Amino acid sequence: MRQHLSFAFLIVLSTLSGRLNAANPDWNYSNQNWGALTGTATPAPLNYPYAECAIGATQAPVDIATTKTERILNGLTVNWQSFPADFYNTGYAIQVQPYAGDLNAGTLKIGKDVYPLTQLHVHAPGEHSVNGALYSAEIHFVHVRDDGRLAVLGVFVTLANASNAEFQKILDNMPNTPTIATHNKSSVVFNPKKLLPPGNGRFFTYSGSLTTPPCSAGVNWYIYETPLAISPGQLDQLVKFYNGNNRQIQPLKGRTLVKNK
Amino acid sequence: MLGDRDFRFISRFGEYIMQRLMTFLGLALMAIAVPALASDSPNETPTLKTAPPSPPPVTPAPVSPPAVKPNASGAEDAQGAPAQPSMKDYCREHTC
Repeated sequence: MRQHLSFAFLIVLSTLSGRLNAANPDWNYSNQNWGALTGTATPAPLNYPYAECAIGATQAPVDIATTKTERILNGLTVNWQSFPADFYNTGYAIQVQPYAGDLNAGTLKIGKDVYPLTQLHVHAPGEHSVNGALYSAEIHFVHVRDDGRLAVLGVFVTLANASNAEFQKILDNMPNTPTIATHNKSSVVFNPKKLLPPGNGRFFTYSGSLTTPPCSAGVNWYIYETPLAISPGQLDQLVKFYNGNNRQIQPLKGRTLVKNK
Repeated sequence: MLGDRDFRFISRFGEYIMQRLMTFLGLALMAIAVPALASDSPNETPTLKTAPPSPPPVTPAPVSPPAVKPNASGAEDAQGAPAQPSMKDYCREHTC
């Protein structure tokens, strides 16, 4: 009987101590074993809210090395437009988005499918690698449809002598500290098209995931081959916000990256 | 034929099983009830929680890179993706 009481006490204790923790655990980039983090939103053994980060079969980012080149009929058409911006420091990255959810920032058209631009954010260094090497930074243009489908357009960032004026707008208007509760509209009009790299429109595509917890799958990735150039001074400013907010490279697990002809 | 001794054994064994069963049910009820009671506690202040809200799921991953073939989008639509209207809001509040 005493044994049973001890067991019951243990259950009560673990339940209560679980309540003291947050429903979903905080995460960080220094320890990327996100799948092992436990929360209390669901009882054990289902209390691993980021389990997909560890066991997902189609995780991102990946190394771009061996690719299959194909003629892709459903090409990309970027129809982004300027918007009054909300410069938002999320605590994990610097992010730019229309200051109200109903504002139109334009779309990315993939074949016949249209994905509205929802936000863009920056990782430094880049997340996807090319033959094992990372770029200085990587911009992710996140497009979300009403049915929840995601398409992310990735743009590598490299260094050059000339600075990018639109990128400078992000650096100049971004709050230095996370503004999770207070981020709001600014009077600055932001043109995302000016962050498109030059080049022939070559891109890589694959089926991946969010690169942040909960690492949900179902994200259609498109990554331009040609990088965007910023100045070394701009990179210095960028890494003062976040340096090292890149997820480790994930295994392809049988996937093949496709490059358009 | 079963003797008195056998019946006594069966009876005691049944009693033992019932006792274990009741203990198990009691523990299971406690495990369900305690978190429910804790979540109803008026002392809890949800606004003080610093953790991000429960993230919504996104559409299940397509088998192959989507929308790269002429028939890809049609095939996906036929599978019937569930509506996830909150994903846009989630991505506005989080680096997704």
